[in-house]
Amino acid sequence: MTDAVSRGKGPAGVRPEAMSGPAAGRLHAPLIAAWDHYWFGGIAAVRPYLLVKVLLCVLAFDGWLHRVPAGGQYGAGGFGVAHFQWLDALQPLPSPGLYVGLMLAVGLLALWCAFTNAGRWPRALLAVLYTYAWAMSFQDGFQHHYFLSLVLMTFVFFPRLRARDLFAIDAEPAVGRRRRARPAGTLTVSSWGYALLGVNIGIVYAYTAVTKWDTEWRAGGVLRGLGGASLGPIAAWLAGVGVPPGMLWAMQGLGVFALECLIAAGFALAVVLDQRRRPWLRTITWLAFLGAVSFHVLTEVALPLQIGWFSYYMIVLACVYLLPSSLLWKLGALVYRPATRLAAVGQDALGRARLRGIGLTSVAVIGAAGVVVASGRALDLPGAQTVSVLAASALVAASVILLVRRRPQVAFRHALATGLAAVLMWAAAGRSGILFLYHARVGVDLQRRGDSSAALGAFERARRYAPNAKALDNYMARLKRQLDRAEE
Amino acid sequence: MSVSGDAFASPPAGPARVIISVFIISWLLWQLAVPLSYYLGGDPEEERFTWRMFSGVWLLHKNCSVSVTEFRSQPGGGTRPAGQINLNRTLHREWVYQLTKNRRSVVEKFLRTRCQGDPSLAALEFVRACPVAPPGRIPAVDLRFDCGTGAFTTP
Repeated sequence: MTDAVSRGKGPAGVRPEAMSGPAAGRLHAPLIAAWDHYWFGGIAAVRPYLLVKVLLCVLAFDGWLHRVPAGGQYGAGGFGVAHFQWLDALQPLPSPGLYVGLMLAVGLLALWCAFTNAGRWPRALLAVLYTYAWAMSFQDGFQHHYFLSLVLMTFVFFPRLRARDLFAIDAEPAVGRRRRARPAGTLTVSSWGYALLGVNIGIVYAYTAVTKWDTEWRAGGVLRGLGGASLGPIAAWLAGVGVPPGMLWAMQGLGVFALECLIAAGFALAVVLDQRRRPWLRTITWLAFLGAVSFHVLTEVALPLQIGWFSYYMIVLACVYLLPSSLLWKLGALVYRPATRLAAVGQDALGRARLRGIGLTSVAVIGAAGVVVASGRALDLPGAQTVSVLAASALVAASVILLVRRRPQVAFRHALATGLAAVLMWAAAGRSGILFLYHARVGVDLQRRGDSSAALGAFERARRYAPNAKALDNYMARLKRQLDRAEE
Repeated sequence: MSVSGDAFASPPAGPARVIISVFIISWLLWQLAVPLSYYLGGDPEEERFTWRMFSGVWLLHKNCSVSVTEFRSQPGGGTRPAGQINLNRTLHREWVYQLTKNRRSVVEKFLRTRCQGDPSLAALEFVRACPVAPPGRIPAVDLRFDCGTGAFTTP
């Protein structure tokens, strides 16, 4: 640890007089100081740490559970258009293998980054792969996928933080003045990437609020179009007491607008929450937190939207940015302490088995590579085997380099992280109905486009993983009869 | 951002701070300008990257319909209609939806691909109608694509 760690006033590790620079004029100095405070000031280290870990885990499972099943549509009918013309000129026609493989790889890499203290290059690679996954085709038109690309891009500039530096302080005996001076949960770090993401989220909410001024929003058409049937009883009750329906819709549009403005302001102000402990700041961020969580929970509960896990991403972001850091620290410590105990037990067991250094690492790397390849082979999805072989090869190559550099412990951790990520991928994509969903969707699309014979093949593959094989059997029998009649 | 030791990041100093500040300003300008351009006269149907999720335009698009008619050359000159393409049997459902949004690059590529796949085609007519939309909000589209020149005209 260094002097960069501070307890909250001003940019971490920087003397106030050094922030403006000698060239700054008298007029500009306060502005520059304010700029420096905002972008480079101290942020509770637990915030960026938890955000990266939690969001990458959600991203991995989101990709495997929600986006892999849509992979069969890529290249269907030999047609595809990318979001950007230059990309269209460069890339081949996207295929199911390319898209599904990419989403499996994104998930593996995201979990690997979450489990290890991954540096900027792996995080940059993750951002590139994720962005390419939606940019390759208009078939993925979800704006929140673009938003997640922005999140991943800012992650590249997040500091590398280790759990033991954040959570182990209270567990260890107090040694020296510095350690005693740092109570749990007050460690701060300078992270302009985190501040930039906070402001970016504020911009997103602000522009989303502007949309509520559309005529269709103010007239209630959008909410009715979204399936807001749950508002029906409220509208009926209001009509009963003499409030015209138009008033309700105008009020809901205005209400959502005000709420989203509050959340936008909350995210922009949350960046300085750990620097300036002012009551009004805490009040606004608490209100923004309650507003964001209730808004996204209500959206999930009351409206049948097909937006995947977007609400959950936003709830994670609201928790990390808007809650007090002491609460986040306690949450992190809850996970960290059992994890360190488990790791200690594991190390003891390995020590007793006399597996140490290069020998232990080699066994772990070969074992993890085998697990990765086996996971890919077990998934009946296009691109899965290619990705698993590539991931295993990357693990072996990186481990050899680390062993040559005499860093077997790092290689060991990477092997464990990769193996665990592969097992989770297999469990998520192979054991949750995803294989059925993927092949069934392919079959439905083929049948819709008139290729009943190929559709039957896809349904037969889907049947292997069907939760209700009898219903699918009946459907396939009907399809077979249609095919037989057509041949006659 | 510089990293002190390997645990905690300290604020950047000197030129690095200036470079990062320029980067931050550029990023913010990008994030502000792209959605703003929509409100300052951009394509009213192009809502990508503008944070207009579940907007009025999105709602109106749900009630739009689209058709593509093929035209073949006649021996005496001119063209004759050769029937409408069954879009649902030709394209994945998502592409049909993109056509109803009049996504220009999708429309153009689809028509061009059809021309390339069938040399006997002379032209294609793309029609998008949104009867529920208020006048002027989502304009009707009627475009003719010439397979020979690759140019769009209005019939």
